[in-house]
Amino acid sequence: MTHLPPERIALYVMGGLPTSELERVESHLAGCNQCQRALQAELALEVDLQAWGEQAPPLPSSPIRSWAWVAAALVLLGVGVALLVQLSPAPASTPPTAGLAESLTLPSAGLTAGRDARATPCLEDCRIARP
Amino acid sequence: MEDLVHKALSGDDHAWQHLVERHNPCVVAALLARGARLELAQEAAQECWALLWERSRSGKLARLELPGLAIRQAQFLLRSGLRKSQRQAALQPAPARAVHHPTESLEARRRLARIQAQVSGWAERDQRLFHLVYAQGYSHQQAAEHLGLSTQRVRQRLCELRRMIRESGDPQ
Repeated sequence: MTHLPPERIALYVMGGLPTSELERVESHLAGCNQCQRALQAELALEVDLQAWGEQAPPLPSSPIRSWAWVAAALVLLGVGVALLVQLSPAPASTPPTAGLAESLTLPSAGLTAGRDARATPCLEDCRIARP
Repeated sequence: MEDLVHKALSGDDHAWQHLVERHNPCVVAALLARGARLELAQEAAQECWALLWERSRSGKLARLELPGLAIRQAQFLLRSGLRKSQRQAALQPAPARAVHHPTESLEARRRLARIQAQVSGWAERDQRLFHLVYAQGYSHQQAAEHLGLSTQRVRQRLCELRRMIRESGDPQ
């Protein structure tokens, strides 16, 4: 008689055999004392494993995972520092007011010229009106 | 075996005891093989034996084909028991579980310690797999998805890990 391989019995107890195989396994088990003993041992192991599972200590966190967190924190820190550098004021060699003045001069000059152009005819009118 | 069945049907409790001892593992395993949880499978099997014994005592059991009859009966009890417990759960909070815990004996504690020692010596991936299935109650399929493996690979690895535990407990 060919006995059931131990891994088939383990799969049977773990609920890992396809339904189509259950009947074949059970009909063999019903008439084979040796496989029944193997089944009893596997079932006893299942009981122990379920009991172990109820009181199993939590798994320690993986060192790889911890390093991943550290790396992510470092990247975030780097991005933060880069942003700060970008937003920080320009160096002292070029005074900030110079650039500001230039940027302000151009539009104000245009504005002044425009105002003069509009104002000129008015002044001329005034001159003409004089005796 | 037939003699034992005949004696049991004629009211011999000793014969019943023998039959239960012999066939109960098959009944529990058959329920596990069909996806029942261990605790429920054990309860359904016990209930099934009590029912068969009562029927035999009241003369309602003409034939006793084991373990087939017991397996079918336990499957029926499990299904109807689940439906009943679902109805009850909808009405009232679940009662405290009466678990037959193997840590009741010193020998069982030793076995659990041996399992723990064995598991903690494994590779992290194997420890995680074992923890997911036995401590967190993941199905094989859920564990496979969680670990990025195939269900077949998970079952194969579980078989190997169980074999390692079994062999570590063998006296030789």
